[in-house]
Amino acid sequence: MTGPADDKDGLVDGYVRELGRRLRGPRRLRHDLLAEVRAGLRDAADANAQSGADPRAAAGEAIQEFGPAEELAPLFQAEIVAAQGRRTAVVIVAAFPGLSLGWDLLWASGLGGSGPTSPLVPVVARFQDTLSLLVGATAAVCLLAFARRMTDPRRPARAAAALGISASAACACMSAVMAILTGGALAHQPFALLAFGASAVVLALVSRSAVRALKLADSESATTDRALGSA
Amino acid sequence: MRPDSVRGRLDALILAVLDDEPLHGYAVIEALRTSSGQALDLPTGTVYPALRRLEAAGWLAGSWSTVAGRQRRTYRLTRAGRAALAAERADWARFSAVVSRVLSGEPA
Repeated sequence: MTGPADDKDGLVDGYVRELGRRLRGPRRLRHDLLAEVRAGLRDAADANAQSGADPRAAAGEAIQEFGPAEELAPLFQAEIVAAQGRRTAVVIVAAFPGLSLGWDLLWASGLGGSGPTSPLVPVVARFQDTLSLLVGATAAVCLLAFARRMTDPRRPARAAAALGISASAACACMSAVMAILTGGALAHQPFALLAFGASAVVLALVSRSAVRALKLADSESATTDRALGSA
Repeated sequence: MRPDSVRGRLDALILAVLDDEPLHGYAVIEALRTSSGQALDLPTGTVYPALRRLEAAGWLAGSWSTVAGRQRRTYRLTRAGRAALAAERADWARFSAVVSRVLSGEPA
């Protein structure tokens, strides 16, 4: 090999790049994992060179001892999946009870307008509140699952993702039903319109986080299963 | 020593070497080698995800420090980590005693 990879740091950087190519997920997370590996490999190379070995050979030895990128990547990827799953669960815990609270405050303050509406409105509202609490509680349980020492975070990550997607869809449907039930009255209430807009944004954020978790959890491969020790 | 035997206990071994003092990645690897009398032979790369996993479980607390352009993450045992280590030690004592007894073929 010739060119800029001739020096010992180049060897290490080349290996870290190779490992990085096999990782998917939030950029910051990947960067942090790889930075730690790079520092560790350079430390190892320095230690090997202290016994008088040639710096480039010392780096090569450190990389050899580290293990093949192909085999190690699934272990690092598992940590990324776990981190994303946790993030999604946290977003759900914050979003759904938060939305429920926001809407309750709006109605209670009277800013959402009052006047004759369908008797179904309070029913749907209560249903929505109960659902939000249940979803929030389920997500909290999910977080507890992540706090345990686990080797394969894909299942809890998929669970958090499924929860986020289905809860967002359900919430969106119920909001549509509410809008229809209240008739055109809401269209004249600026605060209510704002609240609908804000809800839509929150649901979109939850969905985006959930889809990310789902994509990461679903990048399965035979290597991953073998590496993580699952059947 | 078979790699399979070590891999299952890697978490406990990492907790044990961090019992004395906080260490960063490469120092953990060196401590594992030293305290095992050079007998432990694992791909050193497996230690880094294990450290992250232990941190996610709340047994380690990590912090960054950048020295001469090297971004190292130092890990220390948390209180929960110390409790986990004590549990692992007790579990190992029981387990190894049982296995030794059975393998040696002594009467019960």
